[in-house]
Amino acid sequence: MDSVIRGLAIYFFLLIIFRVSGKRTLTQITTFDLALLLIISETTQQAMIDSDNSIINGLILITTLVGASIGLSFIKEKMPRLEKWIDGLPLIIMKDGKPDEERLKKSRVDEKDIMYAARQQHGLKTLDEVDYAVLEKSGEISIIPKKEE
Amino acid sequence: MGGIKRIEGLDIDEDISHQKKMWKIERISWIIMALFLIAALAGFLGTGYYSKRVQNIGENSKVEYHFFQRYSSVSEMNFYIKAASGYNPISIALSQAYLKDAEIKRIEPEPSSTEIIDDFYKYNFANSSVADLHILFYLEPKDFGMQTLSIIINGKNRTEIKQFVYP
Repeated sequence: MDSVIRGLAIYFFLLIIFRVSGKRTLTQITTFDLALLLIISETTQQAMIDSDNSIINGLILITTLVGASIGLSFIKEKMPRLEKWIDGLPLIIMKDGKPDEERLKKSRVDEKDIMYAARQQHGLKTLDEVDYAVLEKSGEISIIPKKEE
Repeated sequence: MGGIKRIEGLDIDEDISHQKKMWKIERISWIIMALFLIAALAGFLGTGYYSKRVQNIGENSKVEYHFFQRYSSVSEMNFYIKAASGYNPISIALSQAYLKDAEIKRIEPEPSSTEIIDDFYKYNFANSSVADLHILFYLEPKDFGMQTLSIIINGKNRTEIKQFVYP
């Protein structure tokens, strides 16, 4: 019972903390972000397993985490309003070639991030070639280039 | 097309009023996270400055401990016993009810003998020193919530201390 409660507590804590830390927190994986992610996973593991290294405890925890994920997906399907809060929604951060400064600032995204996504996705050279940029709920930026005249 | 609207020519489930509420929640959460860290640094979530307590346990002796503890995390409990107390051996008795929920990992120096008396575990320390004694217990909480420890030094002066153990 202890393992299930530990697993659920950690699952929901991580869900909340990553949600409120913003979409971009761990999306753009730099070397340091990767190291940070590994440290978080190590800390999480220690908090969940305590000192019980038995196989059964591992099986209970894995089942708890996967079960919580499946349960949450059912709840989100039944309650779309809750899904908005848990997963977030996409946000247009650039339209008709003009960046929306307020949205960029509040989402902690800048034009360099848009340009990075534009280069990666479409091989664009300048920001003028971008028509729309959308900050997806995953934290990634989708680029829609301007149509060639 | 559930939830998807056409905004500025894009089929997208954007909801700016929801997003504004989320930004507000994010900012409030960051403040809460900062307060959480300040509380941890100050010692409200475990060992630290505001967690440290010193309690007189009679005969010019005292116990130093941390009020806030963490489940399964070892912490120190220091007993300072005045040489002038004149007892040999010196005894420290801790309530069994407390030790049911906390494990003694180590005692420094090791007691010369232990006894069970009523509801207490009594630890005896041979005392041939003329200097003040410092006895250190390393304790690991095995349950969480408010815990009460009764201490009896040298068979008298019963004192109660409280500790809060975080899960």
